[in-house]
This record gives sequence, C-alpha cells and structure tokens, in this order.
Amino acid sequence: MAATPRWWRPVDGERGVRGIGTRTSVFQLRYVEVPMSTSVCYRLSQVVGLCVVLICLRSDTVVAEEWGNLKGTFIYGGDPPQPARLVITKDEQECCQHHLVDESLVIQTGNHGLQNVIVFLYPARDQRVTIHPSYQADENREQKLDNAACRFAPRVLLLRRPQTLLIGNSDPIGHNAMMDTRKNPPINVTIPSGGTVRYSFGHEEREPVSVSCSIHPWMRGWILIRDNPYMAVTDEHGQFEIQDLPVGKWEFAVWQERATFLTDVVINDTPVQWKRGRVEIEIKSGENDLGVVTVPAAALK
Amino acid sequence: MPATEQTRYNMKRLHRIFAVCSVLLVAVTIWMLAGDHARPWKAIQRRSDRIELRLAQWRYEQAMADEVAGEQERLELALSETLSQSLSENLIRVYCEAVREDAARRQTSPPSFESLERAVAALETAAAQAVATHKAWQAAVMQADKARLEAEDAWSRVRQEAGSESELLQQAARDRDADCRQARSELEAAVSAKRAAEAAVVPLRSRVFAELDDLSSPAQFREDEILRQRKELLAALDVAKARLGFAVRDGLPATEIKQLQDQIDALQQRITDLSREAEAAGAHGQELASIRGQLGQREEILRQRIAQCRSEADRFSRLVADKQSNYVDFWGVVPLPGKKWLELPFLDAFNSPRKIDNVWSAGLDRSSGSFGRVTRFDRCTTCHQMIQSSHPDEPGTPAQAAPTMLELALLLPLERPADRAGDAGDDPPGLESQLRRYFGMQLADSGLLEPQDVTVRTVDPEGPARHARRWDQVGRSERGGDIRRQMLHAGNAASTGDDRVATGLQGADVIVAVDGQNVPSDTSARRWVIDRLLAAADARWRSAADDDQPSTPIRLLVRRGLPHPYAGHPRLDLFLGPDSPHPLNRFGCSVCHEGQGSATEFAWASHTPNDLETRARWRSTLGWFDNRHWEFPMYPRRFVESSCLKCHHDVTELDVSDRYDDPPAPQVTHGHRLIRTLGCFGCHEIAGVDGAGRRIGPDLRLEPNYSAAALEFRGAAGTGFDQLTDEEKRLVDSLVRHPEDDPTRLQVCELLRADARRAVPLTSDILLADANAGEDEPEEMKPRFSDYVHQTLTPLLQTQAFPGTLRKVGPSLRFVGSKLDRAFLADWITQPTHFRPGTRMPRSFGLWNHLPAERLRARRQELLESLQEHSDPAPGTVSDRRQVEADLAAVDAELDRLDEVEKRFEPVAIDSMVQYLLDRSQPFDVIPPPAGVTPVLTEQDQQAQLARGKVAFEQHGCLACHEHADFPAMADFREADEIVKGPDLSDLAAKFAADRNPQGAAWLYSWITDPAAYSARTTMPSALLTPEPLRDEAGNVTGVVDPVADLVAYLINSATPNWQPAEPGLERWDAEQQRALDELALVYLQEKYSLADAQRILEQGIPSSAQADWQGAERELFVSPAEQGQIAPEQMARKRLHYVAHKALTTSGCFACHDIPGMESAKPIGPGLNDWGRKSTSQLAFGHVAQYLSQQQRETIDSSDRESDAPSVRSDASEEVDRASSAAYYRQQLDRQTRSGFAFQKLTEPRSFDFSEARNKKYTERLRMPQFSLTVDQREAIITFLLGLVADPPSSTYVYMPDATVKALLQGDEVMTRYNCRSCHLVQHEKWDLAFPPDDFGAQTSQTTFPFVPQSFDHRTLARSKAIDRQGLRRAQIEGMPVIGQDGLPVILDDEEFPLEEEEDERFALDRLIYSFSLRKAAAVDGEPYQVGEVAFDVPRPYLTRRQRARGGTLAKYLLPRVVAREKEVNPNAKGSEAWAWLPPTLVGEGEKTQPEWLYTYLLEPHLIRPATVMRMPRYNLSRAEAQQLVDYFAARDQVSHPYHFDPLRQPAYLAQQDRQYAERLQKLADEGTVQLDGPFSNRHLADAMRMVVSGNYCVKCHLIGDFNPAGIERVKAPDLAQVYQRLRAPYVRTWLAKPTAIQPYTSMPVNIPYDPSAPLQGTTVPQELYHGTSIEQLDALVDLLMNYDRFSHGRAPVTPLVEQNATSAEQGSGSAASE
Repeated sequence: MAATPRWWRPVDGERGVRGIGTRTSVFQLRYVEVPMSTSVCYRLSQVVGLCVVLICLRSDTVVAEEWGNLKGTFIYGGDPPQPARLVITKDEQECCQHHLVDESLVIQTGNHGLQNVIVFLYPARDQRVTIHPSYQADENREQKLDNAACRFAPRVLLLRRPQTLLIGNSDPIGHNAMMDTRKNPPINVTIPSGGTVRYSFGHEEREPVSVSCSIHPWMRGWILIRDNPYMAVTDEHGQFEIQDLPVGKWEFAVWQERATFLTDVVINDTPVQWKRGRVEIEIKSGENDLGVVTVPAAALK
Repeated sequence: MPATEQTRYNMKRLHRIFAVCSVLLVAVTIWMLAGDHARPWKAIQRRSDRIELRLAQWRYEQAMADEVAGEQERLELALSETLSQSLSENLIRVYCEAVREDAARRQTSPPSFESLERAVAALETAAAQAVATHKAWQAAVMQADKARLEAEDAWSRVRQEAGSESELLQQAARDRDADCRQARSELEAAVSAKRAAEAAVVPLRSRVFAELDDLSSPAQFREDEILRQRKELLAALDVAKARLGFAVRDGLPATEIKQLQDQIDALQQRITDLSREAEAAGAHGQELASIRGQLGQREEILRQRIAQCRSEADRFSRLVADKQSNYVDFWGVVPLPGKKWLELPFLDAFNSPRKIDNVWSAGLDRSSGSFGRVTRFDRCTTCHQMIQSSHPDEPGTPAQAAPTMLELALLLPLERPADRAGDAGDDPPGLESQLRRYFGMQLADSGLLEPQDVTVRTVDPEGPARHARRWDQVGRSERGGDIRRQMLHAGNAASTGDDRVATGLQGADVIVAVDGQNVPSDTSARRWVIDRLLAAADARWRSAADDDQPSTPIRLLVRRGLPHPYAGHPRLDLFLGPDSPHPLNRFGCSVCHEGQGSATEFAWASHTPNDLETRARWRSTLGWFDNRHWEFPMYPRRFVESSCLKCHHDVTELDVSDRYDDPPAPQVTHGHRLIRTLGCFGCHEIAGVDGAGRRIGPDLRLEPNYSAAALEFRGAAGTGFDQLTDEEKRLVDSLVRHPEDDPTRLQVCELLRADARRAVPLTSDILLADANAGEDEPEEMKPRFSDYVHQTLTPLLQTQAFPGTLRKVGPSLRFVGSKLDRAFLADWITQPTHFRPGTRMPRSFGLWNHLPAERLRARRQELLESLQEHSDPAPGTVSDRRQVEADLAAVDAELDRLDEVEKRFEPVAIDSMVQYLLDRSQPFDVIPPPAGVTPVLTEQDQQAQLARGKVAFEQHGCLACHEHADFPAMADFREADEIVKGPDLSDLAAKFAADRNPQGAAWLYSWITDPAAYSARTTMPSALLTPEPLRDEAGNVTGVVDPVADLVAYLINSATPNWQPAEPGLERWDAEQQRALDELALVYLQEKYSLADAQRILEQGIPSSAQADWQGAERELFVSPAEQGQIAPEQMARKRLHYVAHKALTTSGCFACHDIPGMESAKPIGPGLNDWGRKSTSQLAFGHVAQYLSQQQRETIDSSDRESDAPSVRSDASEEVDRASSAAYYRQQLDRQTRSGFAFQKLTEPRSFDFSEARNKKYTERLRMPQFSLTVDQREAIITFLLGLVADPPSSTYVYMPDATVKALLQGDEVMTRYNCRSCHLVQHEKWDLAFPPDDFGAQTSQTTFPFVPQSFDHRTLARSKAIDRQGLRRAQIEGMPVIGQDGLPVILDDEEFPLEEEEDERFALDRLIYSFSLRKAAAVDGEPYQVGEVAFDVPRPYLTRRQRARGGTLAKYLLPRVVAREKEVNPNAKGSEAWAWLPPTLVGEGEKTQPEWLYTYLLEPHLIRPATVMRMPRYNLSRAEAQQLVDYFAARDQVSHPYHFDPLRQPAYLAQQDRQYAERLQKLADEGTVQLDGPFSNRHLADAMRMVVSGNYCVKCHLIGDFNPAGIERVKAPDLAQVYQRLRAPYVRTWLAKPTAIQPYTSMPVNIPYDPSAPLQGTTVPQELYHGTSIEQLDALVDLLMNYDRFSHGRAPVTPLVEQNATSAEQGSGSAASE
C-alpha cells in the first residue's frame, strides 16, 4: 500500500527536486552532476540499496545501549462524572445482569486516576528502536481478548508483533469481533460461545484500532498493534510504566479513546500542549517520571 | 483578279492588338495564378504544416530527452552491467556436458574444450575485476556524499559560529568547495575505472559465445549433412520402387523382383536410421541453442526493451520526415527534387500538396430551398487541418486545444544547482544552459504562431518545470473538519482538475508573465524571460540561504493551446476520430455545426461569433460579415449542442453515463430537464412524431388525460357516476390510479359507449319509439350518464395513436378546496413569488412592465418624490421645482389618455378564478390518523413532537426532494445545476395558518400519507410511515407516536416570518368590480358572438337548445329549459363569474400544469415547438420590442446616473461582466431578429413584445405567456434545446438507435430522474484517476478467503497497469467511496498519517493530505490486483489527478454524520463506519444482487427489508412499465439475465444430488466411527444446514426468519432470511456469506464460516455437530438452504395429515358449526 508517502519529494523543493530513488541508475550516472541536498542521505538507502542497509544494520548492532524506565500518572481534571448506564438492547437476559456502564471514561474515585490511557513509543519512520533483551521472552506470547460479561476484556489491549491475538468468548451467547484495522486487513468474525479465533498481524498500526461487536452495539474495545514493546496503558490508578527503554530522546504518543490523541494537558500544574498527542521525552538511564498529567475534563467529553 | 498584298485588316494594327492581348493574357494568367496562390486557405495550410512540423520536432526532442534521462538510459546501463558480468558457469558446464553426451552417443571422441575453458577463465577474471570496480564505485558514491555532507555541516557550523565575519565564511566556503571538488574528482575516477573494467569484459564475453558457437556448429553441420543424405536416399527409394513396378509389369523373374525388393528394404532401413539420427542431431542442436539462449537471455530482453523505448522517438522522427518538405530529397545518395517545389507560386496551381479537403457525408443531405435536398459536403478541414490531431498519450484529448491561461507555480530546489563550464557568462548559450539546469526546460527560438511568443520547447522529465503545479493549489490549507466535509459533498472540491495542468509545463506552452510582470511583446521577450527567471531563482536562493526556509515558488502565467483554425476538437472522444461515434469521414462538420460547408473562406463559411467582442474582432480582422442569405448559419459556440437533437431524440443519452464520464452535451440536457420541470410542454407541445408515425425529434407532450377524465366522471356533479354498480365504480377508481392500464381504461370506455348507445337508439328502436309516441320512455332505455360525460369525457378515454408520456408538472387542483383558503389562492395566483420566492410557478398577472402606463406611473411617483424634496423654497431650486411640476402635469395628461384594461380586468379574473376553483373543488376524504397514538397534551409533549418532526423530516427522506431553511447544509450536497424536485417547505406554516385555513393540517396529514389520493399523477411517493413506539432514555417504551403527525406538526409550526397574503380574495364584490366582471365577460363572449348576442347571453345564458359545444367555457353559461327566462339574477351572476374564470383559466393555460375540474379536454394554448429551431423568423412577432429595450436602456442609464453617487455593493465583478455581456449579446440578437434573441426576450419579459401594440389589441388578443423566474444560464439552456428542435432528422442510419442494453440503461435512467431515485440511492461510485511513481502501491495486504471471492485479472490487464507514461508515472482508475470514520465523515490523513479531526482548528496543506479510499470494485493497480473489502486504499492527494464524483446518494451522504451523531446519543459506543448500512442502500450491483421478479414486485409494492435503516423505501406512483424499466436497467448495468432468471440451485435434481452426497459423507463418518451419528442420513442436507441457521451463535442473533423476530432493537436486526430465496441471486448470496466486506466494505455482517485451506476442515469454526463438512461444504449447504427455504419450510408443514379421509357433508358441517 501507499504507506510510504514519497510523493512530495520530487515536487516540493524541500528535499531536492530530482527524483532520486525513483530511477536508481539515472541517479548513479548523474550523481557527479547533481548537487545533493542536506537531507538526501536519508534517501540514499533507496539509491544504493543494500550498502546503506548493511551499514545501518551494522551501526545498530555495534551501539552499546543503556536503558531507562518511564512512568507517570494520568488524572482527570474535574469532578468525575457518573458513568452512564449502557442501554442493553440485545440478549437482555444475559447482559443486564452485569450492570454494564459506559467505560469510555474510567476514573478512580479516590485520586481521579484516569484508566485506559495508552502511552506508546512513536519513533520516526526511519528511526530504529533497539529492544531490550528482556522483551524477547514474551515475543511469541498470545494476547487474549475475551468477550466476557457482554464486554470486551480487557477494554484496551496492547499487542506487539509478532505476538498473536486470541479472541475468545466466555459468554453463553454468540459474539463477533469487528476490528477496524488500517494497515492490516479488517477483521469481522463470529465467535461462537466458548469458541476462539486466532490472528496474527503483518503490520503495526499507527494508532489504537477499535474492536466492536455487531450483535451488541454497546460493546467496544481497543487494540494497539506495534512493532516494539514500548507501550503501556494506565491502570485503575491512572499509572503506567514502560520498562527498559533505550536511552535518548524519544517521541511518545498519548491516546485516550474519547479524546483520541491528548493535546492539551496540565503537568504538575503547568499547562502543556502536546501537538497531536505527541511528547518528546529524554529517557535517561534509570527511572524517568513524566509526572502527574492532568487531563482537562473538556478534552474528554 | 490579281492577288494583292493588301489584307482585309490592317496587319500592323492586328499585330498590335495581338501583342496587347498577349500581354493582357499573360498578365491575367499571372494574376489568376497569383490569386490562386494567395487564397486564404493556402496560407492557413502552410502555417498549419509549419506548426505541426515544429511540434513534431519538439516532441521528438522531448521523447529523446525523456528516453535519455529515463527508461532507455536505465536499460542501457543495465545492459552494460549485464555485458560486464560473467556467464553462468553452471550453464556452460551443462552445455559442455551436452556436447560430450552427443559425442558419446555418436561414439566419437568429444571435441576439445580447452579453448572454451581458457576463454571462460579470462572472462571470469575480467568480470571479477569489473565487480570490484563496481563496488569501489559504490563506496566512492558513499564517500563522496559523506564528504559533501561533512563539508556542508562544517560550513554551516562555521556560518553559525562566525556570524558576520565574512573572511571566515569565505574561507569555510572555499574549504567546502575544495572538499566537494575532491570528492567529485575521486568519484569521477571511480566511474572511469568502472567503465574501463566493464569495457574489458565485453570482448571476453563475445569470445566465450564464439567458442560456444564453435562447439555447436558441428552439430548443425551434421544435422544438415544427415538430412541431405536422407533426401538422396528418399530419391533412390523412389527410383527403386519404380523399378520394382516395371519389373512386376514386365513379368521379370521372381529372383530379380526379390532382389529389387531387398534393395528397397535396405533403403528404407537406412532412411529410418538416418531419420533417427537427424532427430537426435536436431534435439541436440536445440538443446545447445536453448542453453545458449539462456546465457544471453537477459541481454536479449534488454536489447528488445531498448528497441521498444526508441520506437516512440522513431515515430516522431518519421512524423518529422513526413511533415518536412525540402527542395532536394535524397533517395539514398541520389539527390532528387523535393516536394517543396510544388508549393512555389504558380507551380502550386498544378498538383500541389495544398489541396481543398472535401468530406462527403452521404445520407446527411440538407435542404437547399427550392432545389430540394442536396448532398452535404464539407471543406472545413481545408483550414481546420489540426482538428483531428490528438495528444500523443491520450487519443481522446486534442493535441492543441483552444487557448487557456494557466497560472503555475514553479517550485525550486532548495539549493542552487552547481554551475558547469559553459553556464557562466551572459551569452545566450550560457544562459540557456543555466536555464535548463535550473528549471529543466528549454525555450524555442520563436513561437508557433507569433515569432516573439516565448514558447517552451522541451521539458526535462525530472526538472522543476515538469513538476510545476497550479498556483492556486500550492500552499493552500484548510481546517481538517472543512476538508472532510468537502470530501463528502457532491461537488468536485477535491479534484485537482486537469491532470496535464497538475503536472507542469509542457512543450508549446507560451510564457505570458513571470511573477506578475507581463512578458514584452517584442523581439527581446525571450531574453527578458530568461533573465527574469534566472534572476528570480537567484533572489530566492539567496533569501532561502539567509532565512533557512524553503524558497517561494516562481509564479508563471502560461498560455496553453492554439486558437482556431489550428486547435483540435475539444471532444475527440465523441467526434472526428475513427473510433469515436461520429467519425469525420462519415459525418463531416456542418451536420452538427451548420454553416456553409462548401466555403473555403472564413467570411463565406457563415461562422457565427459567440459574443460581441468576437464579432467586432472578426469583422475588423477577418472581413466577416453577417451573411443573411445562407439559411443555416453556424451555431455560435454557446448553442452548438443544439444540433445533437437532430439525431438524439431521447436526449437522455447526452447526459453523463457509464460510457461517458463527461456528459456529451450538458447544456442541452439541462435545457431538456428545465423544460420538463417547468412544464413548458403543457402549453407548447413538442411533438416528436410526425403524422406518419416517424420520429422527428424529442417528444415532450402531456400524457392523455385518462386519470383526470375518470376523476371528473367520479367527482363532478350530475355525471351519473352514482348509478354505477360497485364493480363498475371500482373499475373507475382503478383507472384513476393506473391510467396506463389499458384493459381497465377500455372497459370504462366501453361502459360509457354502451350507455351512449342507449342515448341514441338504433333506427329500429327509433321506429319503435315513434310507434309508442306519447308513452313514457321505459326506464331501462334512459342513459345513465349525462351528455357532458358522453360528449366530453368519453372521447378523452379513447385510445390515441401516438400518446404523449409526460405528467402535468403542477399539483392537482381538483380538491383544492380541501387544501387552500381563498386568500392564499388569490395571493398565489397573483404573484407566486410573494409566498415562495424560489417557486417554479410562473407569474401570469401584473406583468405591466411593457405598458406605458406602468412606466408613467413610476415616473409620476419619482416626480412626486422630487417635488417633496424641492418643497423647501431654497434659493436656486425654484426653477427646478417648476420643471418638475411641468413634467408632472405632462405625465398626468398622458395617464389620463391611457386605457388600462389589465388593471381593471386582472383582479376580477383572479378573484373569479379563485371562486371557480373553490366552487368546483370536489369533496376530498382526508385520511384520518391511526388509532392508539399517544395524544400530545402538554407543552412539553408539543416540543418533543416538534423535535421528533424535525428529525423525521431530515431522516425520512423529505430533504431528498424538498428544501427547508432549517437544513441549509443540504444545499452543499446538491449538484450545481440540480433542479430540486419539490418545493421549499420552509414557510408551510404561513400557507396552512390555522386562522385562515383550519383544514390545512388534516390535508397535509393526508398528503404525506398518500399523495396519490389527492393528486393521482403526482410523483411524490407515499412515505409508508407507521406508528412506532416511543422510548425514553433508558430504552423503555412510554407510548406510541405517529411520525406523520410529527411531520405535520413540525411543518406547520416551524418558525416563519409573519407572512400574510397581499390581497385577500373577495367573497363579496362591489358594484365596480361586478361591472368589470360583466365587461370582461362581454369581451370574452364577443370572441364568438356578436355584441347583441353576447349581451343577451350575459343576461339570459345560453339555452339548452343551442348546446353545441360542451367543451368550451361557454358551458358555464348554459341554462336548462326549466331555468330559461326565469333564472335568478344572482344565479346568472354566478354563471358569468364561472364563465369568466373558465376563460381566464384556459387563456392563462393553468390546466397545462394542473388538473382542474372541467378542463380535462382543454387543448394546449401555445404554438407547438417541434420545429421551432427552423421556424422562419418572419413568423416570429417581434413587434416593437427593440424600441421597448431602447427605452428601457435609456431609463436604466438615467436611473444609474442618478444612483451613481450612492454607494453600491457589487456582488461579483466577473459575474456582473458575464451577465452584462450576455445581455448585450442577446440584445444584438434581438436587433438582428434571430430566434435566439426572440426566445431570450420571451423568457425574460414575455409580454414586452406587446410594447406599444397593446393599446391596439383587445384584452383577449394580448400576449399571455407567463413570466418564469430563470437565470441567464437556464434561459440559455432552454434556448439551446429549442434551437435544436428542427424536425429534420437525417436518414435512419444516422438517428441514434441504442441497442437493447443501452436502451434499457437510458430508459431506466430516465425513470430514476423522474422519481428522483438518485437523491437517496447511490447508483455510481466515485472514480478516481491516479498517477503515481512505479511500485509505490505494490501488492495489496489481504487476508485469506474463499477461492471464489477474489476477482481475478488476466495478465494483460495487470501488465497494462504497469505501463509507464511519458512522465514516468503509472496510471490507474479506482472505483469506490471515501472510507467513513467513526464520526460519519470521510477519513483523511495528514502526511504523518494522522487522521484529521473534526474539532481541530489546525490548518492542513491540501497537497499533503492522504485520502483513505474504500474500493467497491476490484482494480488492477501498479501491476497488482486490488480486491474489495481489504485494507483501505490510501491515496496521497498529489496522486489524484481527477475525481469523478459519485452519481446519486445525495441525501445519504448528507445524513452520514448526522445519523451517527444521533445514534451516539443513544449508544456512546456506536460505530460511524457502519453508517452507510443505516441509509438508503447503494444500487450499484443491484442487478447482480436481486432477482428480477422480486425487484419488480418490490418496486410497485415496497416492504420493509432492513429494520436497521433509519428510513424505509417509500411507495412510488410507478406504472408497471416503469417498474419493468427499472428492473431492466439494473439487469443491463450488471449484464445479468432478465426478465427471467434461472437458478440451478433451486432445481430438485440438484437438491437430491446434494442430499445424496451429504448422506454418503455421513455414512462414511459413521463407518469410520469418528463421530456418533443417528440415522437415517437422507433428507438431512437442508435440515442440518438449518441447524446452523438456528444455532444461537449465528444467523438468528440478528436475522429475522419467517415468524422469528430476534429480540433487541431494530438497529441490530438484519433482513428476513426466509425471503432470500425469492429476493437474491445465488452467486451473490454465496459471496456475501463467504466474505461480506467483498460486497459492502462497511457492513457489520461478520464472517461466520472462516476459510483456511491449510487447516483441518478448511479451518471452519462452525461446529460439526451442526453440519458435517469443510468450510466450503458448510457454506454451500447454507446457500442451498437459503435459496430453497420455501421447499424446506413446506417440507416442515405437510398437508397430507390435514386432509380429511372422508368427505363431511355440508349439513353436518354446518350443523356442527351451529352446535359449536
């Protein structure tokens, strides 16, 4: 697919106008004639192909890494609203007994901790991420998304490729799981009571994708599929922790299902704007704390 | 008589005369030849040739440039690399082995391979060397770049640190340059080393091949030798056989014969051996050749592709050679005179290449006055030589279109390209070289038309010039929400327009301005442009370096295209080309354009200017004159589409269609739509059929008034309808609703005729009656129906030869008394726009503009105001005041002299019309609301009802045809020229104000419930709304609401300005009005009667004995014998009133649009228009309209002078100019007394033709054409249509006759337009044209599915999708719709793939967006198949060259975000991406989906299918024929069988076979013991399939099945599976079950049976207990069940047990019943 938007390169004058990369041999012949722009080294991988890739690979492998953890807390800025009761319009006999409420905003009553906020590493397209060896253990783990008590459990699931997704159904009624993936083929499959289906994904997703059940329209879940394991979802106290990040400056994306990418927040009483929900954090060796992030109530309407 | 030397004439004088004559003859001859040489068309041809030659030369250069820089260079490089590589050792070894084996087979020693081995070794060494140099070169490339980057970094560091210290900077720059130079020189060294190494390999490769050939050549030699020997032996065999024959004939001894026979046998044996050897040798040779081929395969392929690449350049090179004419041509080396000699003056008179082109078009003859019809021949292409030339890449696009101005942005690279030797210096070559390096373009030495035009010659494929973009597209940014909403609109907002515009400068573009400064128009222009461009680039680079920002683009104004006669035809896809529907050699030019085709001079060809400016220019520069003697002047451009109607009588084919994305004739189809919508044909019939039944043009006529006649029969007083039996009454009722049903009509007609026969008895009856004279007529002989019925209505019901087909456009007024009040009616008739400004109802009254009285009155008012201003006796104003007073006196005097009949009569006529309509209004039974609806009692209830009504109005489809001020956003979704079907309902509250019209609400309720009950021929559908439960927030049912009542409440209570009728209608008239009425009646009566008779009739009426004509208005004055002489004055007054009203209604033509009681048989009042396009202008009454306009113009100038001081707000300047130029054009046309001028004025001010004539005309003689509210464009569209009505069709072979499929498409399309189906339903998805760099899309990411689901593409289609155009891009067309996001708006991503959100205020650059597209049709893109229902197709905006909007679905698109928002109020987790499924379904693929029989029934009587939708299909007032046409349309679109549909799956034999196979499978499983199964196994195929359906996990979760209705809300319910067998086609059901998203990507239907060929049982998750089998077997079983559900369910309800064994006697039965 047209995942690589190469299209502005030849025309916008920012990165040089010759179609470097589209015509390898032409470039080779002309190289001595055409002046290179400052950013052209990124394109060289397309020009001389393997050489650069090899060099890049080698450079990755030789760098000695240090690691750091990132943690933080998200809290709701305002009086927590009473969670709305969901209108159960199907299989009432089974589903009404669970007293389902709208879980798109889950706030702890004590510290107003905001649950289900996803913080995930958002490297640039050509930025390589070194994975800490401790993550190798669960590389092939199966992540389970269950249809339980007429809701998706967990509501937010994090999956790192090549982990597989196992969708189950513990309810005595039939469900289906419809996932609006963007980079992977969309899925919508019936899961009979007690049944399971298994999926693996060929590509990572740029943002969490929704999971829903066509039969029970109130059911909603989210799944984030990434190539790296550096992601976390806040717990009932609004806390999260990502362990063993490679040190350095990294960009993270912060997402909550109502607000999608969180842009306006308050960190330690200071209003901060995260453009498109992205924040750059310098990970230092050891512990790193994002602080207490207050998300204004207006952003979560 | 001796001879003398004297001659009869004086020889000397004769000699002189001869000498003078000779000189004169020579002079005249020279003059003639000079004249011939100077003929204008020759000059044009010379110029055309020159232009074509230069274009061909430039294209050749361009092709060469492209190839050198592009594909060819890449291929040649690949070839040189290939040639520098070693050969496959393995293959060589195989080769040698083959040679050895052959030697072994032949038992000879193998040849020596030493030489070959040596050659191979040498080659390998050299190739290794080449590889090493290649690697070194690659490393050098890296190194050079690294060095450069380091140098750059160092320099920028120094720059930052050094600040303003220029010395340091200079030093750093020098260092940087030095480093770069060094890197460059190292790189150059590496390149030369690489080349040298590669060059060394090539001869070694050749040597190896030569060695291989040496090895294979003996094999070839051997084979040849064997074949030669075999041939000789065969000859010897023939000889031997002949000898044997002779021996037998001659009776030679047996030994000899045997000897001969042995000889033959030996020969045959040898031949067989040799054949075997030859075969072996041949096979060996082929093997070697094959290996040899494999060794050189890559090389060979590359060579072929290079040759292909060159072919385009070769094509242009040949074209150049063809176009070039020289004095000397070389034939080989022999010089021969060239054809240019023949172009010289004098010589060109004899067999010159310059010739007149004659195009004869047989069968398209034209009328030539008294000469009858003559064959048409056209010489237009003599001058329009390039009219057929097309764009090299696109045959449908002209090479040089008519000139257009483009504003382009030339984007520069970030940094200045390094100069080269030769770039520097101010000399032109240096500058040009620099220009090419900077911008990638070259300029021509001189322009194509004018030498000083600065013209682009070639454009480099990768340079900035090629990538120049439209100025208005660069840097444009908008809010994310706006972008997404625009995407959803019907408009073409996202289109980047013409792709060739989008992709930069082209050869032959003329640069007109640079950065806003115009290029000088002299010889310095070229240099000026070069200097300006280079300076602009330098300045930008300097500022970019200072600011470190990307430079701004250079703004170029460019003229593209050539003027006529050098331009190509704008629609080559439609005209001229051999593959187009109108090839030039068959159709010529003048059949469409008209004009004098035989002329060869501009002035005589009867060209017609399109505007006054062109006219003036032509007149001054081309000697044009208005040739009034030529009957068929060319159509001006604005009306050129008129001529389409000559052959395209149905018109609809000229609109956009599947075949033509761009409508062939948009203006004429718009005119057609307007005429049909405005109902012009009601007064002006456009008969498309002549007396002989031959089609002569478009047919727009009213349908026969069958329905109205039946209604009149049923509803009018005293017709005798009451005497009908119930059965007969039902017949009449049926006729009212279905007038198209001929059997019913004929039965009613026969009923009436039979009664008429009773009224006029047969002769014998008369005799019998005479014999019984004096006796009372027996009761049974009396006719049941009145004379009115027999004389007026019965003829209306009779069959007509060529009936019209169009319904009246206005609503029925037959029951108007139940709908409207008197005041509203009077106001509406007086001035319809007073209540509804946008109404289509024309204004018939108060049109006095053309009358002097009106002007004088206005003038009087002005003077009075002026007098008031001057009332202050200030000094200096006294004289002004006197002047004003004098003017006022003059005006008053003139007013006194005027006769103002209109002023007097019109109000009376209007009031009488109102009275008539109310008096004659038939009783109407309003439909009562259903019982059981929760009453609306409190204020809160009312508010809730209004809110519900508003939602219902939006959601139940009303907005599809109506407008309402509460929903302004809907206007964005309508097409630009869309005529909204129904009226604007914003002010309905005023129309049905309760104080004036208490019955309004009840009427509105009835109307919405069943419109056809009120207006039988309306196209408004019945919404089929039924009461529904009312739920509270928790979802509990709290009552029952009636959506219709909600709608009515909303409509008549929505906020409205306090509108009041201007002039309330009068019930009681004063004496003055009564007198005016009588006078008016007298005026009308005097049309038929003398004054005395008229006066008598007015007082006494028309006696019944004189009842001659039952059809005229005079019928209103009839008095019965009883009344005669004794009629009361009030009664007579009422009759007079009805008479006047009837006359006023008929003379105003009201019945043309409305069904009015008593006017069923009225005939159209306007002249027919079927040949208006040829109507002689002498027959058009222009009157004094020119004087009227002059006067009006004067007054306008006066008033504008007066108003000039006042500040004025101009709307849009360009619009104003257009309007003014149009007005001037038509004014001039009116002065010339042309048809278009007449029609324009008639449509603008219809009564103005009565100017200054009205005073001499009786009131009844004055013009009656009403005034429509039309824009200039609408008038022009109507005129275009009218001008095409020539009633002069060519021979039938030229008249457009669609084949059955196309006809079905056209007719269905027409029905869809009639009922506005496309407003709700999508009938054509969007089509996007893409142009993208190769391999940018690659293969689609897809999931495993059933093998029959993906659409396959043949290799040719895939190969075509990989073709690369001249711009180095691949092209593709994809069909589908934008992906809809969670909020119901399209998903659009920014360049970082973040989705744009609705609420964000951030602005996004449009050219950096990515559109998410959902394919609805599989496509071949980038050489790969792309299937439906997979990953969204992301289209970067710059790849999108053209977005062809979807057809239809206007309301659905509008509702998308709204229904999502509404759904989220109930369910916060609702998914917007599914919202398409809640709206009217797309009808693309409806033919493939549904069975024709079902669809036909459904269209006539729709029922609820999908409970989840927010609205349901209404019931249209469709005729059965129309329903059939729609069914045919869908079948034709999808090319499926119809009207009958055969389904093999429904055949008993098939089912039996399936059941048998299933039983065998079960038996096998039971035998294997893998599962425990209960027998018997037969009859279980469908039963087990049903177990899957009814299993709690699957279908029954959502689907209705017969009597089963799943619990839960409607939103999650799905269609009834019990209807599938009659509704859907089996292949569709199979695909749908296998992968629903392959048909509807947005569906929420899950995959129930997964498919994985590698898993056991193909990966099915459906338990085997339900149905035993693999995925495919389970799926097929489900399909079998659904397609045979009726059989299956019948099997469950056996009738046999119900049948009684013994007949029960009737008495017993009744007795038992009684006892019960």
